[in-house]
Amino acid sequence: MKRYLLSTMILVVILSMFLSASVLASNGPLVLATNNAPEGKSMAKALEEFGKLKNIEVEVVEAPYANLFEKELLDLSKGTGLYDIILLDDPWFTQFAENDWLTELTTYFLEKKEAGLSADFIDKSQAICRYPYAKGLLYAVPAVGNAQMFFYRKDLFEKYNMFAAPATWEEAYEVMLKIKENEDGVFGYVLRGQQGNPVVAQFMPIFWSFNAKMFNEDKTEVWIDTPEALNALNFFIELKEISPPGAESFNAQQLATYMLQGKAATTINWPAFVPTFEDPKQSKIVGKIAYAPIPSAVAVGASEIGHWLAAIPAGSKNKDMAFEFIHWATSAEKQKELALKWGNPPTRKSVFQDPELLAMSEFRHYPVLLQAISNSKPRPRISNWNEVENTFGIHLSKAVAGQVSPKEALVAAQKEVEKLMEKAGYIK
Amino acid sequence: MQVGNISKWSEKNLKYLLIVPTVFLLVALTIYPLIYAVIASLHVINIRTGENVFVGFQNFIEIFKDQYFWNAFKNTIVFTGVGVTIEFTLGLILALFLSSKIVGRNIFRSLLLSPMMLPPIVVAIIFKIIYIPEFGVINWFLGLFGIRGILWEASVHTALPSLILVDIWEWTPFMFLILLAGLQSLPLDPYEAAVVDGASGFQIFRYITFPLLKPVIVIALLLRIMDTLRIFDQIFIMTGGGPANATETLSLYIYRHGFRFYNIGYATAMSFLLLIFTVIISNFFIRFLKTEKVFE
Repeated sequence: MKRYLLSTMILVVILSMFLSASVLASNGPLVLATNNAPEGKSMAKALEEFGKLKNIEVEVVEAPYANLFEKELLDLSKGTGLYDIILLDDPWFTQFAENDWLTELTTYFLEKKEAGLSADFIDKSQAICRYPYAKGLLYAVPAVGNAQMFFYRKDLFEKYNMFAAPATWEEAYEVMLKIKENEDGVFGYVLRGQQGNPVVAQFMPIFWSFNAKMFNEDKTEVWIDTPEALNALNFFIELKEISPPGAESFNAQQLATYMLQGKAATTINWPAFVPTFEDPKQSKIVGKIAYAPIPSAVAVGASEIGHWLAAIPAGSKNKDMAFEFIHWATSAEKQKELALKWGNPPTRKSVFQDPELLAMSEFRHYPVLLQAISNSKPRPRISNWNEVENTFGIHLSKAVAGQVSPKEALVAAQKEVEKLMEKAGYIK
Repeated sequence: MQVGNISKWSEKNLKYLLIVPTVFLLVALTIYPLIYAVIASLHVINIRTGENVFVGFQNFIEIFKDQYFWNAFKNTIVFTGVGVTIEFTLGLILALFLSSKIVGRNIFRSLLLSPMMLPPIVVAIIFKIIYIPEFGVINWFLGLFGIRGILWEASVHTALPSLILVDIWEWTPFMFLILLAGLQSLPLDPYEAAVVDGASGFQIFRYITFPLLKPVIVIALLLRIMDTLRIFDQIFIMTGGGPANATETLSLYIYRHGFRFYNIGYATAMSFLLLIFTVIISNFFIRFLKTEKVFE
């Protein structure tokens, strides 16, 4: 009897293993992994609509930003094929693409008798979907457009005789300083200084407009400790001087608070905050705020690009349908609809220039955003960017907090980033 | 014949059969991960690059040379030491105060417990707003007394104390709750005897309450210390470890290596050191609990 019991149990276990394996092996529903912020949720809604349209089963996996990265990385690295479509932030793209974890998309476009991504997509948006950058194979489609903009108080700038958007940091700073000195309780700038990603994202546009670069073309040299970078960091500290006290720990939300309360004249932030600034219920600056591309210094001002890309994991078992969805969701009509319904910034020039959208006040920043994306730069396309960003962030934070001089911060960052680049095999 | 066999067999073995689910869970969720952690800490494992190489104690050697690890270690120790000490002192005072018969003590007790009920993330976000130097409520209040310009979590010098303050606000009630329960379970006889003998209030506390309460104190301290050594949420939200690494704790540093850089081996090795450290401290307290006799 004991034998029977034992063999029955073993049989049950084996059977259940087979069952679960067969469940996993079937194609199953079309699964999208996306982040649970507006731009991610809008894609989730689009997928549900697509499911009804095609009469197929769909499933959405939503996760907060940091979590989404972990989920996607685990799925991609193990090739489990849990997700058919993933939405990914563009700095993740390099590490995903270089390991062949994503599906090359040109063949799918060819099947549709298209050569590849439509020329309607902004060039800079296309470039970040290719590995290597701009020249390589196509592994993703730009789904949600984003790039930093310079937010400034038009009314205050006009008060100090600047009637057009400031073109250079020099002229902008002059007005910002005047505002700080003469306007009671209004700071010239509000700096996003929290250690880590926030301070780096805030510094990069200034770094670039002073013509500094982090690496040489093939990433074999680190160029952090350079005169250009020092000029940029010195100016960054000057911006901190005219920022509210406590900027050392500010994140994007605190920037928005200062702007909404009318306590800061300028900032660099993401367009996601535009609807809040234009909402009379939350904002004291409706009609007073204006948007501009990042001012220039010695080089043309460039903002950091921050797109959400749609891609198909190499392990997906529903690739055809997944591509069908991505193609549909990034079409001009769909992008316009997502912009209207969810405020999703598009990636197609035609949608940015759509007369119907431009006539509406909440889209009045579109020409500026289009220009900002067209002038934007990507974060360095290296696979260990998370580590490099973290290290660079520590030293920027030290400089912003006044713990070390800008020069000392750059020397230390240079040394540590070199070590990381050696470890990752870029520097031999 | 057969039926007899079954009942005999089950009588003998049923107890083992019944603990199988528990043992299975324990093996799957505790023992296997622990063994895996030991193995992983001896490897360089990076999920991103797919690297998986045995390196012996290389990870540990690198950790001892890692300045950021030591900085995080120092911050963790300061955070735990200062935070738990103050929480304990405040909790004990409150418990002594509210175990005596004062008016409205039930209301005070319920109010005192509320901070503990909030999720740490919510607490962190609220304090981040409270701490804004320009229009946060604390600086406004201090301004009424002529104190101005404290930067709280934004300054290198006040960042760690500001975060400790949040922890104290949230977790003093926990100390208070446990100590209060302990106080209320104490026998009354020694107190009556002491009063008859004419002992002062302090003497009663020093020679009766404190020794009787010792086991409860040890448990309360132990729980809080183990919890604080892995502090993460508030710091992650409020400062991200900054400014200038002044608030980076071990958990945060381990998280960074494990989940941002995918150096699983290195992160596991650090977790292991944290575990050993926690075990040593806990053992110290547990031994204290065992050897101390409550009644002489």
